[in-house]
Amino acid sequence: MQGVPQGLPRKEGTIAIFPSLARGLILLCTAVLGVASAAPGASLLERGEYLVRAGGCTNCHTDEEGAFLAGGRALHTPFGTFYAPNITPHLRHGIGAWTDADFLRAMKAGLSPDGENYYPAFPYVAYAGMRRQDVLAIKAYLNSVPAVAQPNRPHQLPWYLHFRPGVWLWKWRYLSPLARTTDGAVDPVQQRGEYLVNALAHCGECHTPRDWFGGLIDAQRHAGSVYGVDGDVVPNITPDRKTGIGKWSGDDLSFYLQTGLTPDGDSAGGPMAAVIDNVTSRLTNQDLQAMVRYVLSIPPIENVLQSRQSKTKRDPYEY
Amino acid sequence: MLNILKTTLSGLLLLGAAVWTIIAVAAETEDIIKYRQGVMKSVGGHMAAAAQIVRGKVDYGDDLGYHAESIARTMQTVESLFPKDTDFGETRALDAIWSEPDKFKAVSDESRAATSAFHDAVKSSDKNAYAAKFKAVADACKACHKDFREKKEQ
Ligand code: HEC
Ligand code: HEC
Ligand code: HEC
Repeated sequence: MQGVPQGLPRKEGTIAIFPSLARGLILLCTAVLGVASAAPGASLLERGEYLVRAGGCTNCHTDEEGAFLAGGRALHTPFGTFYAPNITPHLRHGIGAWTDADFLRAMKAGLSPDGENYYPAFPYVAYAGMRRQDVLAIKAYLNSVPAVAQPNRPHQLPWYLHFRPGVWLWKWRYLSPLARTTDGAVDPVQQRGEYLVNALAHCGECHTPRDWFGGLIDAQRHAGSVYGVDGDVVPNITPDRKTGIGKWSGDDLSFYLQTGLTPDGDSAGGPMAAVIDNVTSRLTNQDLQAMVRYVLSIPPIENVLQSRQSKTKRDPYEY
Repeated sequence: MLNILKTTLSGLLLLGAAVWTIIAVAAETEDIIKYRQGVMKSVGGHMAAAAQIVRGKVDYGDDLGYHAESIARTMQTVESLFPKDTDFGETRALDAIWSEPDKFKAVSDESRAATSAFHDAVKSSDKNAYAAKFKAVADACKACHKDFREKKEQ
């Protein structure tokens, strides 16, 4: 898997090669935002790059064989097959023509510049909890990646989901209650961990079970799900000793998030392998430790998962 | 009359033989799957043990060579654990193993290279070198499980 491409603009000096418009914008943002929240002292672009990684954008928006952020592989969900669009700054096929306000609305309210609702396969339910300045840093970074002229692939959805305004109802029910990002967090490290887990890395999008309408069941947050992308069974990561990761130490968890190795020597596979490759193994050590502290502080939930799939996974599960 | 009897009898025999073959093949498949899972578990055991040593949690450094060797030896022939048609029954092996042979060979090659490099580094007993090589081994396991193993059943 490719993550963030090599040779990204890291030094202030490199910014000089950008079109003056982008530069003006970047300077303006830097001036307005002041202190960076990800790593102190980092430039706006560096912060944006880091946040794109922590937010796992490439997992969906970059195809394994495709160009960086120019559109992703098929995401099979119980509600149809989605293709994450091109978010490079290409004017026609990407989001190069978007204003900051457009971008904020997409990330935090799930609305397109035309006011259409996005499907929640785009995890804006999580990103809604992101800080405004972090969203803008992401935008600045996205403006700096190579623009790619790749048209978007249409989603393949059952007829009753083609009606985008219907998503409004869904959002009315599910968007707000999950946007909280401070519940349970007491000290600043844990709070940072919660922000990383819930607003950025969106662990719950896979690890939290869903109800009949695909909404996350908040009372069971992180307790495991049988409705993962591609029909996976996603384990319980609350620290319950029997059905969760209650027997893992903090070291075990950070080791897993860096290497994929569980305490019993198994190695992570499937979508979690991509999360480890693209997100958790690339965090700063400080952020990784914060994430671990928060995950192990979640109240344990006992939840035995039963796969809906038969063992003969020959028929890819389809509705 | 006799002819009819003969036909029926030979028909039954043939049918029996066919059923027998199917059962035998199925049993063999099951045995291979069990063997494969046993081998993978043993690799997992060595990895769990090696991880404790590499992370400096325990002081069994003298045994690291043995764990590294076992892991490397198993991975030399990892493809042999996946003969055709062993994707039925109680297995998490995915069809992609057989439908995307080139990709499967690439991850197998990678696991061969990474585990031998780790074993060599341990033999040279340079701590910094083998810690990095250990990470590469973990990455190689993860790369194969990512595309070729079905997600967890609980
Ligand atoms: C789990 C998969 C997934 C992840 C992770 C993800 N997205 Fe998306 N994104 C999608 C899908 C699917 C859509 C299309 C939604 C629709 O058409 O209703 C989308 C749409 C978008 C759009 C709207 C584009 C347009 O042309 O209208 C933007 C902007 C966007 N994503 C940015 C991001 C950013 C930035 C991140 C990382 C912080 C991110 N996405 C992470 C799946 C994802
Ligand atoms: C795209 C879906 C997805 C996302 C996002 C995701 N996970 Fe996972 N996670 C999985 C799957 C699937 C597994 C099972 C892996 C396997 O089969 O090897 C898993 C396994 C795990 C495990 C191992 C549990 C066990 O009992 O073996 C931990 C710990 C974990 N995830 C933590 C996290 C954390 C922390 C995050 C957020 C940073 C996260 N996951 C985000 C899908 C996801
Ligand atoms: C070339 C592919 C490949 C490589 C490399 C690989 N594995 Fe596996 N592994 C699999 C597959 C496929 C399965 C599922 C087997 C089955 O269920 O029949 C598996 C299963 C496992 C299991 C679960 C066994 C069980 O049934 O409980 C463990 C543990 C494991 N692997 C550990 C490892 C470790 C550790 C490494 C790295 C040293 C590794 N594997 C490298 C493909 C691979």
